[in-house]
Amino acid sequence: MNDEKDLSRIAGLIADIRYEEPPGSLTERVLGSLKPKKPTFFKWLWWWLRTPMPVTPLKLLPAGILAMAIFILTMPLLWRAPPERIVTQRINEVTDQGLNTVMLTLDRPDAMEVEVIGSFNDWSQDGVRMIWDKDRRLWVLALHLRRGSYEYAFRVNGREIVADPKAILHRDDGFGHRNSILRVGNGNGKETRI
Amino acid sequence: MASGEETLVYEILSGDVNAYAVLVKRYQKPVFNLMLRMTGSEQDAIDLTQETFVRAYEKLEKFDPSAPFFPWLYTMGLNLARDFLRRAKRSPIEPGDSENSFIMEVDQDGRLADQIDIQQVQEGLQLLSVDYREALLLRFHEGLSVSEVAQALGLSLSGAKMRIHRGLLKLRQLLGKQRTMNRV
Repeated sequence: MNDEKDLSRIAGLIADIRYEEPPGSLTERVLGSLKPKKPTFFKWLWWWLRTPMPVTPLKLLPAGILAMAIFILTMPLLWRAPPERIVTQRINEVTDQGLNTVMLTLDRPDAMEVEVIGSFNDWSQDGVRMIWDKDRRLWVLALHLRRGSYEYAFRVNGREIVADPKAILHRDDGFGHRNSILRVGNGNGKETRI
Repeated sequence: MASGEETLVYEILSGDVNAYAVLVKRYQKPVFNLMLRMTGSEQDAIDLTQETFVRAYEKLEKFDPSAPFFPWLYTMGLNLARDFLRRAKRSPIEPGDSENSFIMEVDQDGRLADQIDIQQVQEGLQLLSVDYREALLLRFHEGLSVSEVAQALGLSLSGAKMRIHRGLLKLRQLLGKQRTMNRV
């Protein structure tokens, strides 16, 4: 036990030994004989990336990669693929008698959503949604309309008003847009876009 | 690693020579005293201390900034001092003949611990071989961990532990001898 106390005491006394002070000019002498280092750009960049900081670029890297991976993985979930079936929309709550089927198409594969607005439903803001036909790569819509003449336009992505490129005749709507004109015949299944 | 040293090292490597002043001021005292112990000459100690810091600066690219700086610096200083003594055909201040021949019971009339002081310990350290002396000073005066002592002296971890323990035992023997001689 005494041995341990002796050794512990000796260790404590070693810790308390007073060191001689070096000359005050030593730091200046050392620095005076040094030249600043000139690292290459890539070395400098590597050291800068490794320099401890509250948030180092290297520490941010995994977080960035993780965020990118999450974005890539969730993109398919966020992407709302257009429906691929062709369906028939019935506009008027009437019987099939005296109605003509009119097919409208729009070649806008870039669009997320296309609706048809027109006089057939008094320009209701609730347009009739068109359906994406992946085989033809067209937006399509079948309308059942009575005989008569109608004005209509496509509303792309909820805001862009587009006239039907296949229509021959258009009419200004007085608000800077053009409406296409559709004429439905006598129930013989034919329509005329004029 | 001491506070902020890794950042300092990267700043120095990036071209900020003034950042090196922090490391020089932090470690010039232990390095200077190492040189004093090795050479016994103040002028030689100043020159060797300066040379140690200059050499460390020149070789800083080879240093791992995440490791503690002082053990690496100390190794360099110790090697420079040994080279200097070799060139000057001098021996480091080593123990006298009495160290190895003396074995005695140190606890004849009370604990040694109660009867020794700093001056005696300092004198006793100078009687130890460089290897034991520096191991004890690094561990107990500089407060380095055993692994850092091992790194500074180029030892294995178990080798450093053994060096420190045996150094303490040898110093205890020397102090016991001194006390006996003083009594006579």
